[in-house]
Amino acid sequence: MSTGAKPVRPSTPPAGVAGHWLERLFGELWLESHAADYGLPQLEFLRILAEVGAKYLPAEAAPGDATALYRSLRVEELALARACAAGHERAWEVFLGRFREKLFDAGRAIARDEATGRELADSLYADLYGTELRDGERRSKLLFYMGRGSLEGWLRTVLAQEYINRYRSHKKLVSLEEEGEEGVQFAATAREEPIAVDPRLEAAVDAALAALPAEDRYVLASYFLDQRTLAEVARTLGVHESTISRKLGKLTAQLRKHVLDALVKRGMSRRQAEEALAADVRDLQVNIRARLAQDSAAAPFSEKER
Amino acid sequence: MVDVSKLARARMAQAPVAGPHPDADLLTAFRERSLAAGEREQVLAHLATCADCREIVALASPDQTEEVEALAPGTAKPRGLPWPVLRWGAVATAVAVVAVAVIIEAPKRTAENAAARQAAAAGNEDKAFASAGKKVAQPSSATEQPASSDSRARADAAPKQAEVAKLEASRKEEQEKKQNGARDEDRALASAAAAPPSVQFRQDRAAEADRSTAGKATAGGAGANAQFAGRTTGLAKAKDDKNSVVLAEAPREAQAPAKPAPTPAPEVSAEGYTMARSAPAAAPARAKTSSGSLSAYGPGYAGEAAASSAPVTMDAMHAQLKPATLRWTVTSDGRVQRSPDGRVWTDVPVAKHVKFRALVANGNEVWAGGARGALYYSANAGGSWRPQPVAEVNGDIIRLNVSGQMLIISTSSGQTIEISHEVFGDQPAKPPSSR
Repeated sequence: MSTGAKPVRPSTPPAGVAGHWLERLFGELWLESHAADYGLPQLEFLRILAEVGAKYLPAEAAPGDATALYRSLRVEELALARACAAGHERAWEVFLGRFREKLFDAGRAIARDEATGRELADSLYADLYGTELRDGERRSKLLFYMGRGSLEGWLRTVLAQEYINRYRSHKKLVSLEEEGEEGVQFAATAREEPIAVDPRLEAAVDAALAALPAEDRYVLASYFLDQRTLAEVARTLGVHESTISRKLGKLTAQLRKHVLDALVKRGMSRRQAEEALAADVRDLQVNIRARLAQDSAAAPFSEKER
Repeated sequence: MVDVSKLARARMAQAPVAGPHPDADLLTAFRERSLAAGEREQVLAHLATCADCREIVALASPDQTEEVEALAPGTAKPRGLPWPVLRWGAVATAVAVVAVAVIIEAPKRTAENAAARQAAAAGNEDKAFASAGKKVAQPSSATEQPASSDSRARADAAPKQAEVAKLEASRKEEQEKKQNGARDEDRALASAAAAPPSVQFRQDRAAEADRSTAGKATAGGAGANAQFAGRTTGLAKAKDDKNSVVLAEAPREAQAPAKPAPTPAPEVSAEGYTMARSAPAAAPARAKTSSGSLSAYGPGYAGEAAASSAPVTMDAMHAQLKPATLRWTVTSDGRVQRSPDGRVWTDVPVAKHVKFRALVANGNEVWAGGARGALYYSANAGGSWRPQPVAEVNGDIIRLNVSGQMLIISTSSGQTIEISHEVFGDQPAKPPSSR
């Protein structure tokens, strides 16, 4: 997995996947992409494919993996995005015809506000066009699109990132007057009361969590830490919310069982282990009551004090 | 919902972020489930520990209710009853219809069955007929089932004993005609105007079951005489062809006195016969008004109606979809989708290897345009599609609009082409104006 901070521009084909089959494959993808319609030369398109391969394929990638990766690319949208980044007029017309309204819709959906959503989408348009100059060259954000997912989905993701960044920057710039008006100026810092926890319990919980598959941990974190609804979690995984509901029920029971087993292994009796967990649950209940009392205005990024 | 312990939450929140943040491409591909298994696992492992990326994924996940809809221009957003309400409503209606049908039909059938049983016991068709006539004429018989509509029919039929005798006479006459072989088509057609049911019944012996139903249907709308005739026809159903032929004369008998000025009973039949011969296209409407009695309009009509209604085509099903409630969209990868409720979207197969970029619907009419000027047209809400080559189109079709009687096509090369709706017939569309 790559950091994705900057677009990678390797000048050589991806290592380990060179050969005539790759040329044939690139030729097919070139035809599929209709890149010629946007005035994108074949050589330039092949260079873009090589760039994608260098970014996502490990050096020792097998030809099968490389083929699977290249075949999974949205080459038509990749060509469109790169042609737009290169300033091709017709590509922009197609782009606007296809995504303009969708982008505004996405902006509204993310910001949950008409004006903010439009502002968000407008600012992204500026970035997509490339107002920023680097080395005297206009740099479009579309250069970062690699065709792994749909262009529409990518635009939504970029909008979401932009929204979060803006929210944070606005949050940092809240004036003292505003804070005073909101009545939080002199609010006491909410501090978690330190709980004396048996280190064996911590270790057991860590071990139980680590033993879970990544998807299960993601579900637990989304539901319990981010306070997402079942439907929201389900949508991100592309499953029905009842599946998430069942999974959560199973996971919590499984987690408890694993923690108990781990505590017993670490020298506790069964009864001691259950008491340790029960004490923890009592703390949790008290804590929930306290949180409900003070959380009159839910912060969207409650768990992200960074 | 069972909660996890506070400690588990705390440990999850304190867990170090696994690996670098995935870029927007990977997060998008993760959401769209187009990542390889290994990559997906890596992304999930990161997401499990990174609240920022979880936030982005959640925000960027499209809500299905926010799908862009391509509705018919000028129509309001359809907000009908939700699907579950419609579904249960349909079930309740169906149950109510069946219950009403059973309540109405059960007494009749009981009486008919009883009469048929008695007729069968008699062993002789004439006896059976006579017995049936007597039954009808004597409603107080112990074998009759007590039923309000049936007793009313019997009461109506009581004064018609003389007509039963007439029927018997006409049966004999009919048998003689049969023996003489006087059954040519022209004569039957000629006599059809005067006595269509009997002609119809004589024409097709194979449709005997339908005939008895037809007799009942005719009788149902034709007062006491026709009701009686229908009843006797129903009695004959249990017997052989002779009986059915004889009893089929009943409507004609009932009609006989009113020959110069047709009575309501033959009107139905005559009209049905005319429809069968001259306007079979009107069959569905007729079929709806008298369910189960298609053959009341004669074998010709029944045959045609059966031929036209037997294959339930996809076109017909699509045509039944209410266009005002349909929503349309084109996905980012160029597929056309349709939804009845905005929640569940299904692919509509239009054309392989064509990526669609624009779509517009106007009632049942739908146009989809895409790469390289491809334009497809459906007249039945997406049931079937046909290509509509448009001359002088350069580039992809990126927008479609309907304005009045004009379809307005915008292409990626900057063209705007207007086409009249009327040209979406058999010939390729030609742009009357292009700018």
